[in-house]
Amino acid sequence: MSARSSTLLGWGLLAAAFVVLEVRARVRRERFATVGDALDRLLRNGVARAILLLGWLWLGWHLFVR
Amino acid sequence: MPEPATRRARDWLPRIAGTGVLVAFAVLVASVRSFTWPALVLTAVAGMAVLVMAARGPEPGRAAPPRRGLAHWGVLAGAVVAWELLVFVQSPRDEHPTISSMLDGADAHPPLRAALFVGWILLGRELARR
Repeated sequence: MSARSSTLLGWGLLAAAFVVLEVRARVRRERFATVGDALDRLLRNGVARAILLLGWLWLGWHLFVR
Repeated sequence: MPEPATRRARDWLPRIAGTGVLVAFAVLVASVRSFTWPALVLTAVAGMAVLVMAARGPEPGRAAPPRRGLAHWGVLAGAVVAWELLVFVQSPRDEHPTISSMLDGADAHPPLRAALFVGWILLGRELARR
């Protein structure tokens, strides 16, 4: 397997894990948090909120400006 | 009291208008090239709009988020960061694509670039209103 295929496989597994965790959380809300719940929790902290918003701004600059 | 149909239309009109503005703005952003002043100004305007929304704080009436079952998201976020760093320090980039290098492919295709911009704004809106 080439290095490119291995790298892409890694990304694919992470994406699949995201989908599985989100679906599981939506099916069993009483036991697992959705990604929205996790963000809600994180964003209640002012510092985390500022860091995430700055990260989001940086992402926009990185994708559309630079 | 307005008729239900009138009320529904009144609720939906701002959403439809907002979607139209967002798509038009995304098409505009997709039509300008990276590394130019228009790209910087348009992205900054959109970013500032979302930051103004964020400054107003979370939407009122949001329920307190649950505490249980959060750890797996931390583990996944850590795995994504670790994988990105592991890939980033390797070269050539073609053989070891990072998230950025994969998204760079959208740069040459205005519809993809516009879709990416819409995704970025929707992510920002989600962060701002939580």
